[in-house]
Amino acid sequence: MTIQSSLLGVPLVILVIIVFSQFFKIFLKIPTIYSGIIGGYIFSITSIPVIGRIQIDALYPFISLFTAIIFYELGRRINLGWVLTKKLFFVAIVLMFILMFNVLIQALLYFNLDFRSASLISAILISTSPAFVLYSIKELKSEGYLTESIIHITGISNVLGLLLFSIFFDISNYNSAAIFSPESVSEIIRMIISCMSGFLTALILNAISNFFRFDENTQFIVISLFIVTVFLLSMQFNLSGMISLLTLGLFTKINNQRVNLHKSDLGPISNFSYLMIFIFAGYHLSELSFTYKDFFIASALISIKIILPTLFLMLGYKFNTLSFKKTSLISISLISLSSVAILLSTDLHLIGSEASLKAISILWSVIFISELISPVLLSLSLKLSREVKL
Amino acid sequence: MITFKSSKALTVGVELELQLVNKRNYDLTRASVDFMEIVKKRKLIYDIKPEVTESMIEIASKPYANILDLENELNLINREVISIASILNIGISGGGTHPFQNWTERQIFPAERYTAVSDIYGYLTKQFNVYGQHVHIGCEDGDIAIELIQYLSQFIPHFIALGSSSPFNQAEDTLFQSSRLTSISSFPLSGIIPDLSSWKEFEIYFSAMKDTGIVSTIKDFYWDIRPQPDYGTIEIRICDSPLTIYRACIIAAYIQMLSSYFLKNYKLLKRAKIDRYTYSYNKFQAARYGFDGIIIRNFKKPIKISISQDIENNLELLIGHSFALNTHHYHKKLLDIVKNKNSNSNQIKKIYKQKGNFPGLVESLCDIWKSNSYI
Repeated sequence: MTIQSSLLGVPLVILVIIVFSQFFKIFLKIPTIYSGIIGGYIFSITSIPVIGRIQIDALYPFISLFTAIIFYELGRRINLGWVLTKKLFFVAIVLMFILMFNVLIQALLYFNLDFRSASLISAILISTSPAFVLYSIKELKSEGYLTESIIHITGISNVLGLLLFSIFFDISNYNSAAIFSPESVSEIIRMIISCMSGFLTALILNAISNFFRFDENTQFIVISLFIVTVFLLSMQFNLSGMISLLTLGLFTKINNQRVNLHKSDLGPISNFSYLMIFIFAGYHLSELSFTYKDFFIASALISIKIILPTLFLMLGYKFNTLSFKKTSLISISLISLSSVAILLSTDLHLIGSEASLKAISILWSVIFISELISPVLLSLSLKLSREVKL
Repeated sequence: MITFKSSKALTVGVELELQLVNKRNYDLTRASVDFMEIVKKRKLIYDIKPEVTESMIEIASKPYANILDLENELNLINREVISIASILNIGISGGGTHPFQNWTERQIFPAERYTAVSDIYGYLTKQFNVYGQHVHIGCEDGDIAIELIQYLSQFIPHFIALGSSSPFNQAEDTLFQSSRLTSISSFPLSGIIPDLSSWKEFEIYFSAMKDTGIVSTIKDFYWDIRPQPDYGTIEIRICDSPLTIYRACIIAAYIQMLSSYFLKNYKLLKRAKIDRYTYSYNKFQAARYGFDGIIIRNFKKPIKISISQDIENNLELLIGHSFALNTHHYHKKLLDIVKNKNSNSNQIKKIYKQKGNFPGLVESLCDIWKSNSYI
């Protein structure tokens, strides 16, 4: 196979997938998230026998890049100043996620999973899909206190999820000192270096942009190239691309006087990234082969994901400044799982043990249920909070 | 029959409508519902209210005889407002218009009165997403209130020029110093109060308007100056919201001094008639050119004079009143502003030139509001 023909395959496959998903969106009036998922699912069951798994799996690095782009956007939406203003609230949220992580581990141990698989699955489960959250917010033009809270909590959940996943990935034995093992310390250092790389790149991007004062189109290209470069460097040096991009977004502040660069998104690039992530989420559903038992365990885990934050936030209602109604709506807005969970699940494959395969099966069941209900619940909670544009 | 509740003469109250913007791209944001929720939760004693769209709130002081006390209270209210805004991750800005908002994006605040206004006026209500400063002057009775309205109406161009802070609208340089006024003039009951000379005449006029179903409350009149019988005040509604509380107090002090001059010379001035032939033209000059506007005094024996010169002339007459009212500090500052033609609109244009983009401009306006600098 020549380079040209293998390169030709990439846009062709993407084009076919997009046609699939747009068919559902345009002709059946299905919302973008669901049409992407259905398009991806139908593509997977029809294409794998023809093209073969390996060719399609070659697209994985692109999915990682699209996910990283969404993390950049998430970073752009996070206001560190606000986090510091509401530090007690966000410290409480971090504690809540740590509690949730432990409760999920206990639940999975109860369902006979080994500690390592249980901790990895729990780390994945505490995170919320930034793609689902950001896309729903954009699509519904949602603005307000709940919206801001959901975005920031999503950021926290992903940072914690990725950190815990990395720490527990190399820990094979359960003991209380495990978190202080050399492996876990090196993972924490890896995360810190990822943050630093994003931060330093943001400083360079800001300095270059402010010095040259690019026009709008050039600035857009420069930002895009920075994103791709940071992502590739992260892969090269075994850093977390998602964390690097999140930090890049967080600290990008271009005061270019010639163009309006306060825009937080990357326009068509981000829209394309969202669509590809939804398609990717649907594509993987064809691998699903859950049993009723898996479905039951998955339902229990999702219940924990909803009930625990609800109880936590309700107990602390008097101390936070959200209204009672909005406090009660936070939990159901946070259950979505998509590309991050799927990408991390491929790491679980690497472990290759029987226990890890069982864990993947449970995780896939959770992802399936979450993909089914979370877009509806998220848009419902934004609508009930009256933060969407009527 | 509408009773005009008597209040202490020359007391002053100020209402300021403020912009709620997001901190991502500094566009207007729908935050007043959340804002009011926190106000309620904090059980604040201050007057903080929602306004017609969800992208604005209104703060109001109690009536004060001394403008310094008024400024102190507004600063205390503002401290709470800034604190709530920081909780909601939003910015607060002064200014008569948001420079680049898209009015179609606005949402009406969920309250019966605003929904009713929206039902009647349709898209005008969303276009009415402009921000003004209202100054209340206490009057002992309704007759004085009507007379004072007639007297102060001749200085409407002054108030417009002093308050002007809306040079940009819908991402365009309007070339106006106060583009906000064009949004208000679309309403059928806007502009100048009818030619009335007593409270009795006002009552007859109001009941006729009510009987025909044109209005149901005083609030349905969007006049430049209107009586507020429930408070025992007249309400000057023509000024844009300034960029700082300090500037709002300077304008309030000027109106208080003019009112004091009127009361002192009541016998001489009580039958002052507004020159209705030139009223709209003078208003336009002020909105378009600010201090540089040329207005016409006395239509029958016309005198052309620049607004800045006209204010300076007034300020000379008001020096004694400024000492009596303890507003000489504001008087001095006012003279300084007029001499340097230092309107908020000119300052906004200057900042825009430095920043080069609208979000950057609004970010600076939020910083100015927060720091309450003496501009």
